[in-house]
Amino acid sequence: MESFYADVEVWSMNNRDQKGTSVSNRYRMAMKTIEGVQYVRLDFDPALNEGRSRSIVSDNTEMVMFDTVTEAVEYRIPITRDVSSDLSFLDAESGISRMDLAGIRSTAARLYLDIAEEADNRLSLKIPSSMILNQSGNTRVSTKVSFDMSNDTLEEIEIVDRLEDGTVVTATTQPVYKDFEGTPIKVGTVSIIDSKAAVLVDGFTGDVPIYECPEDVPLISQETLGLMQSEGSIHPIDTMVFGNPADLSYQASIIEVYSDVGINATPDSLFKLLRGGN
Amino acid sequence: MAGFKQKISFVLLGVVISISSGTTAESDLTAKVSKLEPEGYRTFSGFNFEEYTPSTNGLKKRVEAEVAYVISQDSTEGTKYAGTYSIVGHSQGGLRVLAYANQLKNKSAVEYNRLDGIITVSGIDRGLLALDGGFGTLKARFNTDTNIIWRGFRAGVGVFDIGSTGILSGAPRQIGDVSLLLSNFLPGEFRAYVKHALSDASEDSLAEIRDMMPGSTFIKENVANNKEFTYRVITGTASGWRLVQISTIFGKAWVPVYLTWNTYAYYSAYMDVPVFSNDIPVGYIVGLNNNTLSIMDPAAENDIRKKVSDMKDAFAKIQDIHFWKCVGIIGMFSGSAQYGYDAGQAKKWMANFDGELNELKGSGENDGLVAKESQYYPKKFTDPNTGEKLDVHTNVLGKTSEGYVGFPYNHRQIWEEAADVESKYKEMVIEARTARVRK
Repeated sequence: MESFYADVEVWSMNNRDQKGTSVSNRYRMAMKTIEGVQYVRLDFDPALNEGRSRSIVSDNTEMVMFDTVTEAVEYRIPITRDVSSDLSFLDAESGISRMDLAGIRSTAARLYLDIAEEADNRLSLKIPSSMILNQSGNTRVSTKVSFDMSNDTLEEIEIVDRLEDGTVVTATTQPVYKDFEGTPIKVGTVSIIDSKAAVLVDGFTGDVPIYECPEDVPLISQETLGLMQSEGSIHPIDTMVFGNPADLSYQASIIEVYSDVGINATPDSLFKLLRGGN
Repeated sequence: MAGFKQKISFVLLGVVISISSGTTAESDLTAKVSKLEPEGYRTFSGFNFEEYTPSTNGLKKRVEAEVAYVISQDSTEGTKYAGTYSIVGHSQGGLRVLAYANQLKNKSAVEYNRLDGIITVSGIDRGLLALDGGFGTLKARFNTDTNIIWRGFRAGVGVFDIGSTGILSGAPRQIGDVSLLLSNFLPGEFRAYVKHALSDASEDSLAEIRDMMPGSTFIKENVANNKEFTYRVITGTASGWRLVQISTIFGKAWVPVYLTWNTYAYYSAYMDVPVFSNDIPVGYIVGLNNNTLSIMDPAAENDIRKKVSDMKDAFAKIQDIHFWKCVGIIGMFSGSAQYGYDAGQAKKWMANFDGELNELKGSGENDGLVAKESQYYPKKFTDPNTGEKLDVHTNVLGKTSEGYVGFPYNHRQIWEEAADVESKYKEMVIEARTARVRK
């Protein structure tokens, strides 16, 4: 596949708040390989970004953040490696469609990486934490990439980090594929971020009621609410927190849904900021 | 207004609190309780969190001392007074004047008969809602917020260096360090308000603050008992993608499903049983300017708002960069899915800055420091389960159907600057003389 584009809608939800799932961002994604260089462009929807038109375009060496409308460049940032250069054999992999699992397998074996077949046609690659260079102040506990050998696709990426305060964060990302004329094409991703606090916050006294979900909270009618509001005995709770308030753990889910997917139909002009020309 | 400006606010002017050996010093009493004003009332000023010296002496002793002080003033040559009077309390002073009535009633029927009425101004009459459930409530909220901002920073490491833009340069970058939030985004008055709660001191060693917690023994015995309820109301429906856990032959799996669900609004309700009886009229003057930063001078407020706006933009860019990184699988396993979420949460926090401060205060309706629902007791309570209407305290001053008189001032303005508030409570002082029921 030479190029790919899609409209991406990002839905997110946190199990501790009352808001349910909502659209947190929306962008147009386009990628194309031109003369061996992989170009990527994202155009963010101003409606979800306070009216700002922002885009990102990148090649293998540079990422440029610019105004979508005026094309005024805001930042030019050289691309630095987040992981060891030994993993460069994965650089070109986007997981958009089929992957070269045989190549990945042989290179990983040559590098003495822990790669093994598991049940259900799963190939799992465990990446040593020492190969993750940018750990942002936390400790990487484990990184595991799994592939689906029956479809030659990416199946799941699971990373586990330990933060300075002992919180353990497990982030799992799974691409979702759809069959297009016999070829699996990525149509979204599902990520779950499970953050487990190491300790409970102390200092709670009395009986603090704990509600695990909306259905735990007694329901009253609009009529009763109006009556109680008129007598001043009821007040809105702006942010309802579910679960034990002393436990700062949470589980966030992020769903990326692709629509208007196009294959091999991305014009080179989208990347002119890096390639020059019109 | 001349005498008005001399009142002592709990937030800005230093009040020397000298409590030792279980007594409340004369100087402290004279600083907090005014002389009898010509219109027939005394004012009781609030609590200075900034100057507070931890002590095991709580509000019961303070109020006892204030009752004794007033009786003593009224029987002393030179200040002798045998007529009736009202008491007006601001902030913690509001809680104390409500307790004063109860203590006076228990002490002397004659003295209690001299009391016309009680007026609270931005009073913490039901206790400080921010401390509902103990210091842990505020600690958990602070730690949650601090962690959101810290994780936003973490998402920017090696991606987009916020420090290099000058925004919060030098700020602590350690998770759980609440000074990140305290020192950069909150006015000094708010910091003073919460710093004790964030310390590891026991509640009993901070007895006056302990007694300001909703449902404290002091409030139950001297002001009112209450039960708090949480309810939800259906507001409509929403649709979207959600993850649903399903069982497959390989085990459990999360799958995205497009669903429609009910949306709700949530409410707290309070059923109060006041200790003060219906024969004493009470007036509630409620502050409704919930902009905490308005307590500061405008230049300082602008500085914080600019910082918040810059941070929101920076976190938005960090999030966008992580979306870009996730296009390749390298970005996914270097952590960009998580970092993008974290940057998005930090961006949302900055975008909802005032709402986040309201959450720390325990309510969206407040006077910049104290929740509206802390500032008054409603006249009635309708039990939503039975429909039964209960009288809470119906002898209320101010002639409003809500039972309180609201003003668009913050916690400081309402006591220090608002001439219309002073006029209103002076009206209430007059109204109390006829509303008082004497047996």
